Amino acid sequence: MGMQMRNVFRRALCMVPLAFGLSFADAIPVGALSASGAQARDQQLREIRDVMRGGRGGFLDLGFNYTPLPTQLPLESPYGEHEGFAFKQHVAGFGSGEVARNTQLGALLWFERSGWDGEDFFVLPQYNDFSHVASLTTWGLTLTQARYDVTFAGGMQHYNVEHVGDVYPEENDSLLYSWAHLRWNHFSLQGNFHRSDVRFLRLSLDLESRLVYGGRSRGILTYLPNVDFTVYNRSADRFSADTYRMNWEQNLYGQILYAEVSYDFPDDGFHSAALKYYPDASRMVAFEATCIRRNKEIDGTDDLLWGGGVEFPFVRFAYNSSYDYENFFHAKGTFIVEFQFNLAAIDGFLFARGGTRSAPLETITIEKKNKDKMPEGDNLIHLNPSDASTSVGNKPKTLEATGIRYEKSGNENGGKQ
Amino acid sequence: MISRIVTKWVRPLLACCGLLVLPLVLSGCLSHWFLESETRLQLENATEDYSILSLDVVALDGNAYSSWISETVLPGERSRVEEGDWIGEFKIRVKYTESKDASGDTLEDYRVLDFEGGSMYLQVTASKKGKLEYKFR
Repeated sequence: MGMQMRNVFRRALCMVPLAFGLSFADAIPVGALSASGAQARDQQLREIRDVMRGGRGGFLDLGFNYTPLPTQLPLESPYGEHEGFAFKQHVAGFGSGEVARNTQLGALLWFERSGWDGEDFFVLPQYNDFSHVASLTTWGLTLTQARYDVTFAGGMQHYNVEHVGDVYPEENDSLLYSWAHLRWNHFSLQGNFHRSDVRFLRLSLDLESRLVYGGRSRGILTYLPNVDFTVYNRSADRFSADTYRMNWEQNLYGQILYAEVSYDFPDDGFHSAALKYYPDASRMVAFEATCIRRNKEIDGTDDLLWGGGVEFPFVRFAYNSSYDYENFFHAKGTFIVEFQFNLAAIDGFLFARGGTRSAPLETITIEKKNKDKMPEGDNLIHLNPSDASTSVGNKPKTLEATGIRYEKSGNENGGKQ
Repeated sequence: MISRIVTKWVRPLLACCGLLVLPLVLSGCLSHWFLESETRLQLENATEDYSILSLDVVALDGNAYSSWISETVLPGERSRVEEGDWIGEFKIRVKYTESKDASGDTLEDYRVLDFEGGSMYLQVTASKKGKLEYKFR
């Protein structure tokens, strides 16, 4: 194809988003790419912390970012702006089974491949002089003792640099890390290590009561906050001094409206905030407005970046959202599309990561089934004895009656099904 | 029973898979039908009495450079085609001499050029005042 023709195609392609009045793209700095390993290791362990709240069941996550235009997220190197594509592909899974009475053994694997490349590949990158392609694998084994509501998990993290172009700064990232996670009831402690050095330690207090883990579906206990404190080692990663970060997640209304604030100690202060609305407490769908304070060292400015996003099962759209800014190389100024899907399962409940109640599809079936027996009020709570510590071990027996469920619904619909 | 499972689960799942396959197809191979991911540059010295010694890309702050065409191109000659991963707007530096046989003092000329990728043929001419001018053909 001749160059003229190609340029016509290019222009035509670029007109599509222009027609929607989108401003094009701010370039992503090389510093954000070389700091991405530390950020991704932190993020994966946060996700593992969320999934380990139950310590049982299963979890599946798949996704990749889709940025169709080479001008959308160019790379800002010392030479100027290079056209190309930022990318992130991720997959995660966790599964567990009962090996002895009340004892669950599980395995988990989190994988992410991300960076910037001259082509929008899916498997094989171009690996040009300005590409940065790296992958991160976190794996581990989990052991949950349901009777005491205790989970222990541990494993390794491999940060593997596939290709680094000439323009990137020296990376202060080595290849092999280990991690451990200890949860008791609503409390968990997480550590990330490189050899004998501590990279970070995190204490999480997930105080909010969640129905899927045998808690309440409503009431004052669901308004307790989820707080975590993380200490990052000063010699590690992106920090020049010991840094403490605190996250506060607060249910504002009925486990469908949440506020989140993150704060850095001792010097940096406010880091980010978000207001999130989940139309259903299973968190399959989410609307969020976010605000993040930009980093003076990388962006040269110390201002607030406002943005937001919408998440549906299978796809997520975001503009300037704090999640992308932090986890997608400070991407901003352009619409980000992420094809993604994640689903957690525990005792027959299905929900997205962080969800507090089961997805509506499942809930309706259960409510129907129990309608006759229950006089009024909160049907679900009867299936799940409210005390988390005693319910965990015995619960599966009350819920795994799939056959009965079909039989009952068949009758109600005149036997057509 | 089976037909119920098919209508309730299999069809939506297939639809969702279809949704995921679409961007998969669009990413990668297909975009290379109309997008180039490298620039193949050939330089023609169309001046009458300047010799071009090299063409480099220089960093915006001037602290680094990356050579692209390092070949003496005498008046009327063409360089070999050199592949480079430069797509975007970059500042180039052309080293040249004011002689037909590449002798004499080396001079430098800086210019910001837009490299769109693919085969690019850069013609360097000289204005009457002796200034180098660049044109992609």
